Amino acid sequence: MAIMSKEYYADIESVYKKPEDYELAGKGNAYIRIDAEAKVTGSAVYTDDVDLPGMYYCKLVHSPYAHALIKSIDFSEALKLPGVKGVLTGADFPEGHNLGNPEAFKELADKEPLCRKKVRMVGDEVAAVCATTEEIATQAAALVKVEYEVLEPVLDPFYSMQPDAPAIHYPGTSNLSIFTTMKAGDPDKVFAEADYTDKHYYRTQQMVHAAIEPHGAVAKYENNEWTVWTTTQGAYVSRYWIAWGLGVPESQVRVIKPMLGGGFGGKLDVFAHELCPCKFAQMTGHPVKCILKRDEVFMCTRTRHPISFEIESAFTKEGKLLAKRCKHILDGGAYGGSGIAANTLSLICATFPYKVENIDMTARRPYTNHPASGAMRGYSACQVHFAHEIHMDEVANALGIDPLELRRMNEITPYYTGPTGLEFTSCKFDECMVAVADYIDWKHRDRYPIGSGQGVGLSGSGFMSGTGFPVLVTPHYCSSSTIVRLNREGYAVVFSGANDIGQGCDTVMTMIVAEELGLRMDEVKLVQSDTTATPWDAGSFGSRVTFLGGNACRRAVGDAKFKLLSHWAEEWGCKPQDITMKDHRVFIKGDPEKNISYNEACFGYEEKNFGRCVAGVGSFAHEGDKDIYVKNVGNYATAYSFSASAAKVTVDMETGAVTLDDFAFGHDCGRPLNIRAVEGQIEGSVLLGFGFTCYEECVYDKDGKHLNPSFRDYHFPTALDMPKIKTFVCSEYDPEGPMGAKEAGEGSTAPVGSAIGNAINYATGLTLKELPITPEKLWRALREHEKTGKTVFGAEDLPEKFANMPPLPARD
Amino acid sequence: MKKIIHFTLNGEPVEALAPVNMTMVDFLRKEMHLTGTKRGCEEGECGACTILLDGRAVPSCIMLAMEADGHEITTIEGVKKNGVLHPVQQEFMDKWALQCGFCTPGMIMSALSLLNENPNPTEEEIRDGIAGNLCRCTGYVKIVEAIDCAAKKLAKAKEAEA
Amino acid sequence: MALPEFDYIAAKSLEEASQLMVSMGSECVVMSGGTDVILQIPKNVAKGMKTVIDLKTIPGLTRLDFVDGEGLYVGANTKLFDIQSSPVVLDKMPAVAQAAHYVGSNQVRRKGTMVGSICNASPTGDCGAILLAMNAKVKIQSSEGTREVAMDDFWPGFKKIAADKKKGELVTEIFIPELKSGEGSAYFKHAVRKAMDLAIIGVAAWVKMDGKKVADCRIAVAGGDVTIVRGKKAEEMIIGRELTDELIEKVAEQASAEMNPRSSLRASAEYRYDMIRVYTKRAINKAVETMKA
Repeated sequence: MAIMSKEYYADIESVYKKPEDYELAGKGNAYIRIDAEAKVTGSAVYTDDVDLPGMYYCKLVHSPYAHALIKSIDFSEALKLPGVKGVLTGADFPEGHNLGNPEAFKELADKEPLCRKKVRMVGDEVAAVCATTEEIATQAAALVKVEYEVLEPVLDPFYSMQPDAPAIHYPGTSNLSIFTTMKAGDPDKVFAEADYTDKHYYRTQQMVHAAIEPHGAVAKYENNEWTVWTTTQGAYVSRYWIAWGLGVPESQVRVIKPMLGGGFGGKLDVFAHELCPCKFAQMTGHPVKCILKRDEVFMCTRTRHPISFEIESAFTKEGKLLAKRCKHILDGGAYGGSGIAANTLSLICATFPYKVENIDMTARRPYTNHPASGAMRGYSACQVHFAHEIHMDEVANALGIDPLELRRMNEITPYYTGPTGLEFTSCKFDECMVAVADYIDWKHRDRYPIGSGQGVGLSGSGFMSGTGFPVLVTPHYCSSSTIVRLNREGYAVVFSGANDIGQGCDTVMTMIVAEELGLRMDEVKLVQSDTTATPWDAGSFGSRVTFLGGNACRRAVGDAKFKLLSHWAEEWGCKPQDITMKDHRVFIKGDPEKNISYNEACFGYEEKNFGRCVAGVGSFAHEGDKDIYVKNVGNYATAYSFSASAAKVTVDMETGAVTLDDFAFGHDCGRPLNIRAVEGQIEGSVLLGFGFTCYEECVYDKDGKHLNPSFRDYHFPTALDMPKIKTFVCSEYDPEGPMGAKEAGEGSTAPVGSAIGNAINYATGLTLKELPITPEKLWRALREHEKTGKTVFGAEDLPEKFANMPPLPARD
Repeated sequence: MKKIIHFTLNGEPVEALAPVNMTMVDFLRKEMHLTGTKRGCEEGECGACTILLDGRAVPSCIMLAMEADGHEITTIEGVKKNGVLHPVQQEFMDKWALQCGFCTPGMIMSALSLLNENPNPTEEEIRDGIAGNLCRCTGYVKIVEAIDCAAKKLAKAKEAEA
Repeated sequence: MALPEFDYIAAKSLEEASQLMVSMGSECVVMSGGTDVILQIPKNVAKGMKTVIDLKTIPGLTRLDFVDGEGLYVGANTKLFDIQSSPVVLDKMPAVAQAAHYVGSNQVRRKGTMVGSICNASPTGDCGAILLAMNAKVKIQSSEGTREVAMDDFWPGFKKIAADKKKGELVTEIFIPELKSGEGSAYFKHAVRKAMDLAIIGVAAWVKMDGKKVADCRIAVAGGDVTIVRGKKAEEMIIGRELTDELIEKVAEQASAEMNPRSSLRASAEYRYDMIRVYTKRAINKAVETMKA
């Protein structure tokens, strides 16, 4: 799809620096993160570090039941406690103003700021208290007496869809939060005629983001306006829902995102811990802080969707992928929020990274009384690529084809258009696959005989580079805007709405401006993520920040640069494109007369323009079909990234313990803007994927109570558990990316689990279809295999469950 | 209930009236206004609150403020001396050994303690030294690299001194 | 963590601590490193605890001495970190250093003590099994005097220890007999993560060889019962016999069979049974491999 704004921005793009002139972009050690010094000295201010005079503390009261009606709330004991300043219930917020995520799907917003009549998960917020200290607030919250009428909890997503299941939200809807279909070609005909067809089942578990920084917010109310410092991945989207939840105009809410201690998708939605301090700040006239405790983060924020899969595939006997049918059942938990995008993403990812022309896929997201599922890094991709890539090895082995060759035979190639309209641009998947296979010495994988306790595994994946969906309703689907001001004193200021959640986008935006203007990194000052001070940005999600925010930022600095150079082109009698900005100077190459400092250039421009300063504005949108997010036909993103993984594992065949000995990762992220930043994203992705595969799982009892809501009982890898990681950046300049870049943060999580899973399968001679592969689970499978010869384990209950699903409701 | 405690905080003597039921991390953050020490899990499982007690890294969330009485406490704010970053801090910056930065102060305190106890650690020993500090962003790769480089730098400086 | 109200007393002497305990009874708890005790404060205050008595301010309890011909003395305030990194412990009884190193993280081990670890009396504690296998003794002191308790008698029941708080009894020292010629010991912990994890099970073995025959043996299992316990029938089975792989396999099966592990979030009883078997084997083998010449 042509970018419609290309012509509009043509002048601006004409003065962009050429790749051969880059001094910062792509040079790993040319600069360091702009937040590095603040972070290594402890001076970086995170939400919990915001300390205001006279601050009060808020504590939430949570439901101990997964599904219940609230009969009464008694604050009398809590209010007797000296230092208690106020209490809140659901009735203190405007009725019907439920919280959700996309503005365009506001009818799907389903979360009350505090529950009024019904609780839908253990941890649901029913009341809040405010006190002068955190200690008193904690005591007071424990004294609030809530009387419930307990209802039957619905914990199985398959049961949830059955006609006799209790309604979690809306009666008569089969508890479906959302369902999605994607069809192309003639799969039925292809399946009927294919040499090879199969049907397999897989299941992934519930995991959490586990950012080390807990969620929290500080609110103050002054001059009829709220200021909220909060742990958000998108200040503007948070502002929208906070204002809506309070029932006030957006103009009266200012959201500031301080430093963020990790997001991973868990800080996209708006929560009670943000709205209650706002309300208390207005009631008491004091600033109010609410920081969640770790168990609250586990129970009351968001999780990764557990998905049950039924996958059918059709291949020729030579290994050409002809068709795929699949059904994905996503446990949505109690609420929608950012979780309603999971279905679509799961289906799109199921078509990556292979060419498949005939598809028939559906995804259903039933509500259950588990904690709400939501966006999480490698959104839906981690689960889908686990199932579909374990499946790929099963097909390869059934057909007697080398799994590497089967992948290469079917891989997406540059500028391929998928059957539903996904338009790929650059694609280095093949290079990624070959690089990791060579590193792990795939050719000689026979040196680890199957079942020997050692094995290697491969996997591939793709991801959207920049989800274009802007969450809120914006003109031209605008996703991100930036303002850049050039200062005659020798610096520039970039006002960026992009939300740095730790990944380093503040540094990327600063670098882009410094690169274009020929300034040093410290001569570019960044103002970031504040709805009053910075322009619109949709947030950090969908691997969109570098791509969409970076493009917006480059257009903004390009706009300023074009104005400045046009002025000097006129003075010097040349074209703006003839002028270079480098080393703090503005000049025509080889002409010593036409060579002035940056300061003089800005001063001269302002002199001519009656003192008006040089400023630029830029925006970027993914200009696809706007209905893509409803119909799933068309192009989802402007570009796509590709990844491949190779793992070497050792399995202790007596205990089931898995050691990840070595790991290689190939990533096609276009031209990397900073190699160390890209490596960092990949290395972190391996940790997330390894945890997903072998360690992490939220465990619930039969009543829906979370049994391991702490880092003591919920494990992700420590430094001793992690392997060395070899990274291959298989880069190619992407024509649409900022300075040729594509995404590097999310797609990189997708192939990790299946590479490890495949390696474990070869090491043990088993096929494991369910995550996580804990030592005990693997031990159980190995023992049973010894006794009965059984080789396939996990998801045994799914064939029956899929067979007994009610039909999909009709689409209105 | 509050009691008076005397201790050294980042090189300065402190006399403070501290709530008995306050953990050290809360005392540092709320009473001393040193917010570089982070609260991640508050049960000794994540390492974000790591400080130095008499030069040795300990979790400050499972420590009472009362326990500081008579001891030397160093927080991340006390690591940069006379405007000069410690080589461990410098290497964390140069090697991009941080992302969100929330684990970074604790990670650096563990690294300092490790290098005090073991100036020439192997990679395995570095990994063991920071195994009590959870990081969700980096996969630890660049952190291990930064500590290794800092160790070598410090060893070189020591050699030059001798 | 917002803690409820309580009082804190830094004891200056054993006598002071002991007297406070006698006068307060169940209304006090004692701590040294505090890494377990502080986390339990909210629960204990709810049960009526009013005062935390800190013992680490008592001088003279940080002993870590190896005496030739006797063994290792570990004081009540001796940090786990100092035990794991002590050259003499690593040399003379490496299994003890390893067991210390298995606890939590380095940060926790720089604060926590070995005495505290065994007094916490967790059935899956990391230090108890090796102490039990090596026949360690615990010194208990109060105003009434000093007595010595064998590790065999230290845990009378679930989460219970032989020192009587109401009588002001305090554990002041652990003594671990040295390994003599022909003796070896080993400890393995089985957990999901390589650090910062609680044990699923742990097995320690102490073996005394007489040529090819086993002259004596002690096997101790963590996570096998409500306290850390010995596999006495398994020991009987191995003592006096020539050591073969076959025998070790049978002994391991016996050790597993005489345990009574429970199912929990961390592992099922079934898995624990089998892991006790696997690690009994590994512990005996390693004890023999690392035997003192």
